[in-house]
Amino acid sequence: MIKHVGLFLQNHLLQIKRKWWSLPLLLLFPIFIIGVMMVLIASFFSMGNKDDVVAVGLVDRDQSEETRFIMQLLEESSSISSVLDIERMDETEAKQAIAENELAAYLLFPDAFIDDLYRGESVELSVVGNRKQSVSSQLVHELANSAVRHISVSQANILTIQQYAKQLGMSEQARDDFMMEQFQSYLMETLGKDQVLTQEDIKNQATASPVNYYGLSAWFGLVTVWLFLMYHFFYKEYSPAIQQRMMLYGVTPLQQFIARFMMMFFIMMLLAIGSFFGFHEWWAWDLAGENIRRVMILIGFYVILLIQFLLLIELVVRSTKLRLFLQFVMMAVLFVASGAVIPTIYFPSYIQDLLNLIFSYHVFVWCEELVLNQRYYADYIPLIGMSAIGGVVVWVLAIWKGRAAS
Amino acid sequence: MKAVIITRWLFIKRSMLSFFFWLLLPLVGALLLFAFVDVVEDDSYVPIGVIVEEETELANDLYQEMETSDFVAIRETEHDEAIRQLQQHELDSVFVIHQGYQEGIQTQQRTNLITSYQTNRSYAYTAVKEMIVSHIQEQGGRYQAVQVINQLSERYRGESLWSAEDVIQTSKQIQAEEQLIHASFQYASQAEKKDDEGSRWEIWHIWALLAILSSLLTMDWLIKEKQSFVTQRFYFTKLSWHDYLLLNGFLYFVIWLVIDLVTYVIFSVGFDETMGVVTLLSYRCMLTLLSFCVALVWKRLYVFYAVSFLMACMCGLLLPVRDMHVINWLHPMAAFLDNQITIGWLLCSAGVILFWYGRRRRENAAS
Amino acid sequence: MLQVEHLTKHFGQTNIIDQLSFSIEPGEIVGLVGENGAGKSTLLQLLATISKPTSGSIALHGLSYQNDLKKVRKQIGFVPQDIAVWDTFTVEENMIFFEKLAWNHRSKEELHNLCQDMNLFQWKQRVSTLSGGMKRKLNLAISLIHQPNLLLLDEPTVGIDLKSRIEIGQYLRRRAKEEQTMILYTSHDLDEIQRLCDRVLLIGNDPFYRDSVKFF
Ligand SMILES: Nc1ncnc2c1ncn2[C@@H]1O[C@H](COP(=O)(O)OP(=O)(O)OP(=O)(O)O)[C@@H](O)[C@H]1O
Ligand SMILES: [Mg+2]
Repeated sequence: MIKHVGLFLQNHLLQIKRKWWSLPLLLLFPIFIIGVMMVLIASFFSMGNKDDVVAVGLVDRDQSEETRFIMQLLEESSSISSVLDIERMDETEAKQAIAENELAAYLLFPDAFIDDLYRGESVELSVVGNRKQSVSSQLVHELANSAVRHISVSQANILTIQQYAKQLGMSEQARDDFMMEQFQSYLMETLGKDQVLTQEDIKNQATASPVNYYGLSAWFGLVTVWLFLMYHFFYKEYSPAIQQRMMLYGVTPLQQFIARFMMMFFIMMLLAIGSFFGFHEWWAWDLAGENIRRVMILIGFYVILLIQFLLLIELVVRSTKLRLFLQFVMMAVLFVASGAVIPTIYFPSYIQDLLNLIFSYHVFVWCEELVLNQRYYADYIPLIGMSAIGGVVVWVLAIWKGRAAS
Repeated sequence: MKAVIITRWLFIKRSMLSFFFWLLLPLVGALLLFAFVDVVEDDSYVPIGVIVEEETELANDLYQEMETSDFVAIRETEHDEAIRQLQQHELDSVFVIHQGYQEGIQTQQRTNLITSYQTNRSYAYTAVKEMIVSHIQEQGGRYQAVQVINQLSERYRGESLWSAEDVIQTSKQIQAEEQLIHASFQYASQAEKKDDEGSRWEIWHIWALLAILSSLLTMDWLIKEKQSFVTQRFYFTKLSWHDYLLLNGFLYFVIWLVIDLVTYVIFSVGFDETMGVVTLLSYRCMLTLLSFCVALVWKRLYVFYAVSFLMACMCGLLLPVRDMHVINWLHPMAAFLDNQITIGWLLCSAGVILFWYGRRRRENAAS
Repeated sequence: MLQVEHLTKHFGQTNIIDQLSFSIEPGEIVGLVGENGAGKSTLLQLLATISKPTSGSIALHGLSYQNDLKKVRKQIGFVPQDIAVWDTFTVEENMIFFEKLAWNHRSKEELHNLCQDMNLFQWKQRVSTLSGGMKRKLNLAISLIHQPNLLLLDEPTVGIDLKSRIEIGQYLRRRAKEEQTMILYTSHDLDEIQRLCDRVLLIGNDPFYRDSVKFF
């Protein structure tokens, strides 16, 4: 039995020797992809930065005093100008500018905008987007939506004031002037809305920065992707004839599984530990030695459980196509469930309850505690339990499969 | 063509289940995933900490408003505990409603009524803050109206005619009844207006991605048949080997079109989705040609599957950053998702296939 | 009539077939004999248009292999040395598959009879569950569907039982004589060659075969 396992191990080593040239490709490719993804995500999030403000046009068909006032305010407001670069123009200019891809969108104040507003009739503020800058267009749309929500509340109040003012017998002229005044006051209030808040940034924990969180996620993702690729590197489909012959020599599927498992575990631990030190250096995580050891143990469990999971699917599903699909989907689910993509606190509560059953979640949570929150403790009990159950299930299925085949 | 249909049927009838599984994967997968994301999105809450320092009507009102909001879940804790949880990122952000909140609102002294705490991992902070501020704004605006009306009636009648409750009631009523201002969105190049784009496109996104995977994976017949010794027999048949392959590819294209038609009807009825028929047609055409090309290139089935997954994976990963210029050029799904006709990838794939076909032709004629 | 002149085939530097010339008359069955690796399969592939000769010319009924490839191919029936059938299909489905792609129409009845002629009676059974000899019989039957003029058989009877072998042999002889089919036949069974063939074509350099063939 052990002799056969040894033979298969040797065979896998030969496999590495024969296909050594594909290994660097296999290992570098995920690094490359994850690197590119991180750069892209980073640049995506920094889009609201000052260096690329979104160009927005304003078109005023109404031409009333109030709209002119709004435009002026919008143009001059500093809180807006950090995000948007606003310019007044007429409609043909705006259309032209969109066609030439100089604007992300323009806002259109329709005819009789203010009159309708005062009379409480339905008013529509149109945002016309540029398909070539769809993300920015959507951003402008969001901002307009939020502004409109504020204005509609103010509008209700202005209409209320107007209703009461009528009962007081103000002259029409006086009332118009008064309404204008109120309109301006409400608008100013809306623009200064953030003043109700004192905003405090909590930053006393240097390590809890998103950069480190993403660093940890990237490392976790890298290990996951590597493992998946390694699995396929060592996977070998034997023809029925060869399977038969191996059976004659007393080789069981279990022995092959054990050999593959050992090989992958060994290589993955090398890769995981090596890359962890890389990340550790790069982001200056500066962990205590005992915590590094804890992270290693956690990732060891992760590797064991992931391999068990892949082998389990291999044992249960016979169609290659379907098996690959399931393995792929399950890996993705496990990775998302770990909280490495979206922090799990944002998940619905019933999903959060389920997470306790998922090993990737346990592993990542404790890695987070160790790396980001600098705890000096990790709970291995659930992981030990899960890997024991996983091992038994794979073991039993492999033996059963060996029986069924012979 | 009849011969191709009959011979293909011989293959398909052996694996009906798998055949339909992969054929329906984009449609069913998109529907399921979409429904799942929809439910999860609805049930997702941003956990925030709220500390109320005064027991007044308006402060409670604000608290109630936050509580009934459908995207935050409030954890009421002590100040220090909340800050600790925030640091550990167990809470997204923390809001403290200060002593003197009600008075501030009523007297139009609306600065620094609330303190918010955030970290640089408070991903939902802006949205939560926006919600809270807009509610304070609403409360404040109403009391502003009360104040203005009181001043007016003092000036004209020498006394306050209306109580604060009356005015606020009227304002709420007006807000509920009147059709007030709203914003609409449309693209410059688009004929009809749409009030809310955004998420509705997503179902086609998911579909398009799954369609890449499944159309690649259903092309595996080509690899399987290419590997067989049977190819030798095609020298002596009515259909040459490459005609046989092309016609079968075309047959798959037609089958896919039927499924796409069903998809189109379901999506446009169920989701009120507009997608150009020509866009869809050109996308499907591109997918068939592309997967045919890929299947021509690779020899081993397992490698072909791996490549298929890799391609689908790359397309999916690059989807969020599709707007960047270079990627928008190269991404096979870009044109489709912009509701435009897929041309680049279609022509490339068609070119490769023409080259393959032409070369084989020449080889045979010259032998 | 098949005419082969100065046929040569190189694989890289090695010369497998060198300046070979022979001809086959209609209705004639010719046995092709030689040791393993002598180039029998290579020759059959050349004659079957599957591979191209380095030099030399072949003509079938006056049609040149160079210029009238399509017409030539319609008349050729080739039984590959490897079993070239769909594994997942039944015998019936295999026959129907190749009938649909063949130049001429054959009824299901005829296809069934063809299998019977090959002593293959498992009409509804899946190929993957057939025995080795049965697969060979099917391999042979498929090549006969389009009623070729020139039959190139590459070890068609390996692993087929003696009784079936004799009956298939009788069938082939009958065909050759009744329909003037030319048959080129390779086998390592010299008894069979002797029983079946009008003439023997020897390739390769093994002296053993040279001596054995002298008996004919
Ligand atoms: N594609 C090829 N490239 C290089 N050498 C080849 C190729 N095909 C065949 N050969 C060589 O040509 C020689 C003849 O092979 P061929 O298959 O014709 O032998 P054969 O007479 O049919 O033998 P057997 O009795 O075993 O069937 C062999 O030495 C083989 O190695
Ligand atoms: Mg041979």
